[in-house]
Amino acid sequence: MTALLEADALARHYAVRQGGWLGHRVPLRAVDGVSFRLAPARTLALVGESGCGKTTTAKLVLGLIPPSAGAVRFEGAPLPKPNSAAWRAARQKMQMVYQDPLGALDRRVPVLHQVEEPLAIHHGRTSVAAERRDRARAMLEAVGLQPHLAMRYPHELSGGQRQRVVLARALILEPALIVADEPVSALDVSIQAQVLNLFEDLQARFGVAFLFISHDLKVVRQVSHEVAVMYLGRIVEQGSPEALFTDPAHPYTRALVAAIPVVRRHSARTRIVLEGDPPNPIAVPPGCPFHPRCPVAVAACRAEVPALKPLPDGRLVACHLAHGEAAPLRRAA
Amino acid sequence: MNGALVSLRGLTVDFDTGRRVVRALHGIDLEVGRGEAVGLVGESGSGKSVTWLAALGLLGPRARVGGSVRLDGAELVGAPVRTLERVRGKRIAMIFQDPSSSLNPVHRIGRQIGEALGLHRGLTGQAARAEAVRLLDRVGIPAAARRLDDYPHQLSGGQNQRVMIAMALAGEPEMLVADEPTTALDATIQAQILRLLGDLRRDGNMAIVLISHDLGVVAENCDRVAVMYAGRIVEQAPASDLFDRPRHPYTQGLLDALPDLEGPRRRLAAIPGTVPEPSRLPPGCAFAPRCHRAEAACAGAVPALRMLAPGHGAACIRTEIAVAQTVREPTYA
Repeated sequence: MTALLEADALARHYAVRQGGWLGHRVPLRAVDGVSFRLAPARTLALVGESGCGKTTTAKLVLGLIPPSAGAVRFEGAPLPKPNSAAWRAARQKMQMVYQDPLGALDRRVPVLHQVEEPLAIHHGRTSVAAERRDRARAMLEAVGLQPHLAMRYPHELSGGQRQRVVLARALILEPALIVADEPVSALDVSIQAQVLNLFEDLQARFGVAFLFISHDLKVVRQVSHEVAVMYLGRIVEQGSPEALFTDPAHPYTRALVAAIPVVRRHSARTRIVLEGDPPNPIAVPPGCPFHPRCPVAVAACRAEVPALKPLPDGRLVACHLAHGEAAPLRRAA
Repeated sequence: MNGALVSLRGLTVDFDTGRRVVRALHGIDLEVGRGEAVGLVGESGSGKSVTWLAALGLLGPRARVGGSVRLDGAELVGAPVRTLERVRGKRIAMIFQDPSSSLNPVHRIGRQIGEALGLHRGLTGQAARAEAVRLLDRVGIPAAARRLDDYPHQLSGGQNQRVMIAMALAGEPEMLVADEPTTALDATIQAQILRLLGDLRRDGNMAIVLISHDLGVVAENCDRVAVMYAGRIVEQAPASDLFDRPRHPYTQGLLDALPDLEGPRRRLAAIPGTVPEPSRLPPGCAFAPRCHRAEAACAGAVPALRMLAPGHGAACIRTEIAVAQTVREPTYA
């Protein structure tokens, strides 16, 4: 299938000063060579802990920040230069949804007018105001917001209702891609389920693709067709959520899955509690970036960066041991 | 029960907003035994934090607390400040979600732990410093002696939470109230902190009240669980019982709304509607408007928590009928 979105060896490095503002500059590799493809009407999830580069990847994909290296292709063409007319035209088809809907909405404008606004900006000269309002009303209905709430202000709505408004505003221009950064993390369980179901329905109805960013593996499994696990700016494992979460191949994915507290255990899982803190992206260890916390690391892991390569079952893994390039010291349980 | 360490009886909280008085807590009955781990779950606004802030007299002058809170038989509600000060931090300690805002950013952590040690145990100087090192070591901070001179911003979020736990342990409390202690932390760090809390409880026979919105966290770390909705406990049971055989439709709804990490992927059963505001509670059972099993009688009166099985209570008239029917069934067979 042709890809809607392609990221090719994307990288974003920042120069940060170490030891106060007189300190020397050191590179912070927020994203360090990330490649993936996303087909139309599919969902790819990026998961990982804070500082792994998932949000930076999202910003790179939308052209909100320029990459230090690598390229983004959208609908087969390179992403136009940011802030150019061509970029704005392309951005109609790529929208973004954030974690905090209250911060993303204007507090002084009724939500209906906010949903309508993108139409006025992009199709202001070719459409009639009444027609735009009708479309905004229809879109609010499509995301399940009751009509009597349309003229309310954001603070008069609940968190779940606000996130519906944000989704309606993102969908009004009929985008092909929505980048959603932790869209349900601020919502309570019962409301989170409503919004997750809505994601599913909207994809079926509008054929939109999602780049879904989350730290919550349970949420990710619910909505995604493919999952990429990130660690220190790189993808360490990528494949179907079923493969990754029932039989993780990378030791980091294994630890991440084991760390999720669950209510109902279907199978006996071994508890792996990783030692140490989340790593510092300024001081990325040599070799495999995960080796200082890895319970099964061997000498080769300290020396050589493992490449992201396919396993026989098709998923991609960046681990010397998973590929049999290094012999494990002892059998990992 | 006389054996309980802490016993809440009919605990109510009214907030005076200036214009009117809003009841946030409608009579909480809860007991915590020595060394017991009790979980308190519910969505935002359900009253889980307010319960314990009220019990410790931490709500401020705008709140009116009613009912009874007994620690080893001694009444805390309405007790003089001097009595409360000998309890707070000493016999009952509390930790919160965001450690970096609980710690003072301009003081070294050694001084902050020392302050707690001086207050609760009368330790000063070298004795306090030695005890602070021991506590930091106990909560798993590497190179504890060197860390004493660090400021909170020099530590990671997980380490700051360990420092908070060390401060909480300074008074050698009989009970620790942990209010969303791992919500701000990454999954692998959350697993470390939860393991630490479990170890501390077992080693010191310290009771833990774990307040969390995450059903998985509570399921894995508590002996007994109380589910709260709109300022009331709607179900209470041993943890395994509650999650295997939830009786209250709200508990059942929460579990059905939760995405799974394993097993077949299913569409989530969301609970319709939103949590009611404390000032606009529906008549009768507060959950009735969102409940798929509600009937006319549910709006008639607030259902009392009735015991349905040993140690397992639910506040739902529909559940009582259902249980009565299942109990009667065998006589027909």
